[in-house]
Amino acid sequence: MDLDYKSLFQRNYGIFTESEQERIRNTRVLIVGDTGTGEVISVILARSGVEQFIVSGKEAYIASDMNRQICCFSDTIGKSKVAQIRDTILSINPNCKVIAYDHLPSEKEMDQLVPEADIVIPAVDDLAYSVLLFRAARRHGKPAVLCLPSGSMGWVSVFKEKGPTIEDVLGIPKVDYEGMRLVMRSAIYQCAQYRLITAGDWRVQWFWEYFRGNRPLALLCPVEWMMDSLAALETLKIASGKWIPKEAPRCWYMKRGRVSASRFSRVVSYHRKLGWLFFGSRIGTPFHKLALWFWGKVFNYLEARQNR
Amino acid sequence: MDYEELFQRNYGIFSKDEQQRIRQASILIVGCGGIGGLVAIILARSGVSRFVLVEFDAYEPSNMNRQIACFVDTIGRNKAQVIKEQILRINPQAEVEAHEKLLNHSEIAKLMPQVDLVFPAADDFAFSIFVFQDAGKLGKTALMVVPSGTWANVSIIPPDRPSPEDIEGLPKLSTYEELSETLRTRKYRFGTYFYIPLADWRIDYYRGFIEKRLSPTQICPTVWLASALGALEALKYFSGKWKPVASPRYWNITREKIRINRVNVPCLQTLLVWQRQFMWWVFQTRFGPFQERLQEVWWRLYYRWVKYREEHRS
Repeated sequence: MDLDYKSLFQRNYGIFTESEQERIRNTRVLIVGDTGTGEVISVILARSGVEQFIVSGKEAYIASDMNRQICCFSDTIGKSKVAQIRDTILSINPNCKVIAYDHLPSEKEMDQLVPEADIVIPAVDDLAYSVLLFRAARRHGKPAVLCLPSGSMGWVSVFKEKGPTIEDVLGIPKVDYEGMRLVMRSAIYQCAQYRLITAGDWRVQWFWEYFRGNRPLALLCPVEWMMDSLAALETLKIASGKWIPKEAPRCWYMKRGRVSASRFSRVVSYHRKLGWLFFGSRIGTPFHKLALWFWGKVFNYLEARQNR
Repeated sequence: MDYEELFQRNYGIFSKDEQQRIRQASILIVGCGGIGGLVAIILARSGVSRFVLVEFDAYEPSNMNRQIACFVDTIGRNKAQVIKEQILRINPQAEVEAHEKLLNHSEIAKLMPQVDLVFPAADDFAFSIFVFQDAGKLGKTALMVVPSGTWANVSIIPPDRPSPEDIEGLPKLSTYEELSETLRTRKYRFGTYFYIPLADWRIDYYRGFIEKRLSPTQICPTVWLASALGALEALKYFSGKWKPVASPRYWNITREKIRINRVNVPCLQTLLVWQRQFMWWVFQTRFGPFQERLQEVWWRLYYRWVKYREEHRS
């Protein structure tokens, strides 16, 4: 059977010209992480005609990945995610070149890996780590695509060399990795994530268990795959050069199962920045107890509302 | 592997009752191509356990650019069979009934009473329209997903609400053969001229679509986006947690915006639908041949103008 590039991707040529499709073909994407996001994006890109991939991750499939990860099946549980995703890409288009690393790059390795790619797609659960990747992409002038689904909420946006950074739009303090980890582990930061419940429809009980480290992120297949498709669409916009991508502060935003073209909320980002200024300093420390008492009340109210 | 372990993460969002409702839900999918296959897999991964699949066709190389179970080693195999295998590899306890041959409308209607939701996803849109009609007659709710290029419509169609014909502006004809023949005519196909500005079709491909009956162009991200949104609407319907976007409202997807429109409420798509309906009505009167000649002139000008713009841009 004839399986050359043109016959596999003939339906794409109704939209992309030959030179645009050639550009897509020669784009090299770097996808870092073990989440379902990275897998679905790499499959969509392979099906759109991208031929060069660098993928990196260290985990193996577990049963609870079944609800959203595209290469997780009952017979692949226990196998390495990166190896599975490489095999899948190759069985879509055998001419693909996939470089697979079985670990997550350290900060130093990022500086070697990022310049080799044209587009960087961080796909890790650990937000602090993906911020490092966004910083590396910016240092080397590469566009990076944010795809952040959780519950029935999510964001997709493109960050380029110029324009706001991910720290700006999400209100993350500009400190090093350890510093960010410390902040994200603090009770006061976790309370500020209340939008996971109000906009992301998380169950309050699950929310607490998650921040105690007993539960993973709550995720739903259609929501995650929709955000992944949008991220892949943005990647194709950059790769083909045909359209202008949705650059930060503009984004695709999903809330309570409804998606729209939107902007990152300035209120949320300034609220977080101010909160960090106040509660992170010595003046704010005595007020932590008061704030936690307040949030306790809010969460009790939210839980009562959910159980009604 | 028990159900609660596989779908553990869903319980962060759905209560036990809601997930149980999803588990017991069933769906009939007519056509397991791009949208049908994808919706089936997403629903299987969300915990839906009963599927009835209908598809006579086998995978071919041109399906590779968007169909979820099309791989080098599944080319040539029946799509329903391959999707069934994937569903069972995701959830071995799922019940999947696969019909691997061409069924006619009355045979499909006989499969409807046992399911909660009907998803007509056939390649041939005229075929799907009559599946929608049968679902409406039997009081079944249906799911509509229509992608083309970078544009798509998604909606839940409850019985007795505006139908897909009202959303897309198709003529209401009494038999499948008549509608199928109409959708293939040149004068009818001109009604999709908005595919070029809104769905980013290239003019030469569109010309092939009009004149040589090429298949509509599709790209993976849009097809998957529309299907994931369709699967989400189905989950909303099954779980009862959120209100689904149901007809007369529908999702309108382009590469720039995703929004909810309403049938017959002024917006771009409504104007296009009105135009189609009006022109269809004129074709039935004695001014029909005159309008057809006018359309030919218009097409020549439109082609030249778009061609000029395309070249100018590159």
